[in-house]
Amino acid sequence: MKRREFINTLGAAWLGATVWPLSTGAARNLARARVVVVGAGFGGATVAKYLRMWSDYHLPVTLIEPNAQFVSCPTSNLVLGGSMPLSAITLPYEALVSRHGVTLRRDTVQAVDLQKKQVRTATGPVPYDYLVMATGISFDYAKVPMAQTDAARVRFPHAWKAGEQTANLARQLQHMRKGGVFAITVPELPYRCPPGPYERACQVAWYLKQHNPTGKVLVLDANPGITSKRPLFERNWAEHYAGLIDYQPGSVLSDIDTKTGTVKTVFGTWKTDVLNVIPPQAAGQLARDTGLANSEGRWCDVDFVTYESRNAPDVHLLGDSVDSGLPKSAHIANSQAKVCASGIIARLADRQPDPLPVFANTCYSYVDDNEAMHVANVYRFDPVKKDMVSAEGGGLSDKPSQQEAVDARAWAKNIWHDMLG
Amino acid sequence: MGKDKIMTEKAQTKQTVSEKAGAERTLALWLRLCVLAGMMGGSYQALAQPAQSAQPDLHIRVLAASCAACHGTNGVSVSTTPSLAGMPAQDFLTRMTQFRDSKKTGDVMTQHAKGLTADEIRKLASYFASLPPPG
Repeated sequence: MKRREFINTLGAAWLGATVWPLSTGAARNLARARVVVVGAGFGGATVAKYLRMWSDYHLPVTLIEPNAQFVSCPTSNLVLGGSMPLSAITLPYEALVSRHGVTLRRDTVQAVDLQKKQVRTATGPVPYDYLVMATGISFDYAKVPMAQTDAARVRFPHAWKAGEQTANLARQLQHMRKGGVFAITVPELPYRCPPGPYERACQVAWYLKQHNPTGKVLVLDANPGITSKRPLFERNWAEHYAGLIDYQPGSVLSDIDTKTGTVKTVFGTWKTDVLNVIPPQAAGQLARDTGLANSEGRWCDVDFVTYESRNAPDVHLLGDSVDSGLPKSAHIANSQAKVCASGIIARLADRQPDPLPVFANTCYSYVDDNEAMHVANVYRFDPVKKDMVSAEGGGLSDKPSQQEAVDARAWAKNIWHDMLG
Repeated sequence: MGKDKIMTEKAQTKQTVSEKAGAERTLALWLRLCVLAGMMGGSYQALAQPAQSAQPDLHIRVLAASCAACHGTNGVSVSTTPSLAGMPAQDFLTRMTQFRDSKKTGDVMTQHAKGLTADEIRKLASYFASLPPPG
């Protein structure tokens, strides 16, 4: 027995003993089932790891992901501010394989055959008994189709999926002319990471303050106001970035001149030097193509006890694709993954899943290189509303602080390790 | 791509080998019994809820796992946030009660503690106390 296996067995023994000793029959059922997880982000990587851990490493799990490495969206705005290199938020998937025995397949899923219960990939079909789709978001360029071409996506990056897009936007900021305008367009809710665009405005303003102090950040927000941590952002902008951040609420993007970068909203025309188009969003394309989106066609309905799709049995959906009133955050995707893993294992072990799941959300935003602030909340399942609802007591920081920047870095390290380590 | 495939196959082989190894299974079972026996005399039993101990408490395991984003997998932090694994149940209860009753409404742990029931806090205390501390 290898040392690592021994540790795994020991860990499994502890968990099994304290909470749930698996019967021999349950272990046999688990070992026979095939679970396929599509997408290795905060939802997918977490569910793959916890399906292994909580089945005492009996349940075989295949995780399909096209990218060689994970790049974290949380913390990625610091790459724009200049206090974090992209390499520091780029992490390997290896431990999921070596430590947890997940079968990692670097591949792209092209389609799902719900009847045959298999996913079709670039290199062949993969059969499943249970499918977990954690495919994040897709972008909807219907209102600004001119921004959808490959060339336009390079010229006007979204940087709302971290990686090359983030590096591209950082380069554009660094090369912007003195006194130039860096514009961020914010889509209407719901979209991934509600405070993200405003944190980005802080980080760009922080960068400009040091390197291009006559430059400006223009925030064209399709929403009637800042959608998250509003009083904190408003105060921070007034105190630290007055004259640097120009915030325009109710500004739905209606046109982009791709030659000049000039944008139009219902309220006016704006000249820009760097244009960061964060497009309106919907569930991941694969989930939509598989017919899992709800009547409005954008997001997917699930049973919040197991995250099973309301449209397809044995198919589970996680993370930003899910239609819920909850913010689309990394911590929520990570928590949903655990409810889902627990539900799938309970079903295979012929037990009842927890009928009233509860989980927490903590989300930090950095206002510069040194201070951060948070929003925190507990959410619990309401069986009457059939929805996750906010529990008592949640709220915001009083103000940004250095301690919270320490906490934010600790959060990132622990959640990355929780999903990948 | 090639590297991933090789690693994947290696992991699968390992899995098969370990599943066939009866002696190792016996060891795992033995360890499990030891742990269970160890807990019977400890604070776990004192705090355990009657009538529910026969059923696995998935509610608490999933809720506790939600704490992992800041406090680490199985309560073992890999950063500056304190670990919860192995924390004496009474310490956890005291801290969480202080957070819950605190007037500091902008404090992240006060916000979380206020969202939990007294029963959940009590069960989380015994759950984290039963996990192996960081070693």
